Amino acid sequence: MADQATFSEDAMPLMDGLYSAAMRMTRNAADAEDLVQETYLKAFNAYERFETGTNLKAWMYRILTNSYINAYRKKQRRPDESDIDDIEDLYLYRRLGGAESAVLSRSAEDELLEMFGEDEVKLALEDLPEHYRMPILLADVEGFAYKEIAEILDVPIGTVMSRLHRGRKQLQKRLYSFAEEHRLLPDPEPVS
Amino acid sequence: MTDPCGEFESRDCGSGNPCVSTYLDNCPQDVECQTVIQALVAKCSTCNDTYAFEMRVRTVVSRRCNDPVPDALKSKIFRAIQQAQRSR
Repeated sequence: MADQATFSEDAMPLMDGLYSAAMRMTRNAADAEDLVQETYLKAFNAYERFETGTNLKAWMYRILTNSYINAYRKKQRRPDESDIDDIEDLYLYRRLGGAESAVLSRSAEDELLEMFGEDEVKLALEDLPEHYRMPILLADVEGFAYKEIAEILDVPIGTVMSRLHRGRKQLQKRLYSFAEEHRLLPDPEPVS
Repeated sequence: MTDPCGEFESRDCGSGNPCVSTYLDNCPQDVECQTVIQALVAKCSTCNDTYAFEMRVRTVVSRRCNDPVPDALKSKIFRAIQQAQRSR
């Protein structure tokens, strides 16, 4: 069992990631700060029940997620949290990557990916329905594996996989729409 | 390492290989595992391209989603924990 005396030393280094995750969940700084503080106090009070040597980061994210679901989700639920349209696999790759139909060279593709700034990526992610946003946040931003995400979100691994698969396609579609709207894509080569 | 998808070798990679995501997700931060994945993916140039592209998109998403914790919040939480420790 873990020792509460070492809680600060063990858990404080995780705060950057937890705060970023809280920002994507709540979509505003004031709620994110409250959520992170609540998470740390709950974790401290429960720390004697944390088993030393197991995954502290995953344990903290589970507390964060549960706290968010219990306290914040109801008031933030949007009317448009419906399911998303079906989108083809490898959405962005087929348009920008090495596929035959892609319009960009590798170096131009790199330049375009770099043009997706913080605001665009955060907006694209925050705009996703929650059941897609949370797995993507945990997998692609925080680096958790399927099993850990399933435990954090308390859903089966198969659900994590399908939500990640569909959510990523939606995220890529939103990024591509941004590139189109801002005319970042070159005109296609004329057919001779 | 065996093929975690059970069908990697037999897929039609000409249309891209969705299995790449599965490989990546199951060992996102394990260098040894990533090396094995790259060796498997390298058997097919389309898979290799797909893998590289997925990695680059994920890197961009990850890099763009970091928000520094406000110093005031760090101090507030640190003080709250110290106070809770003293009251025990």
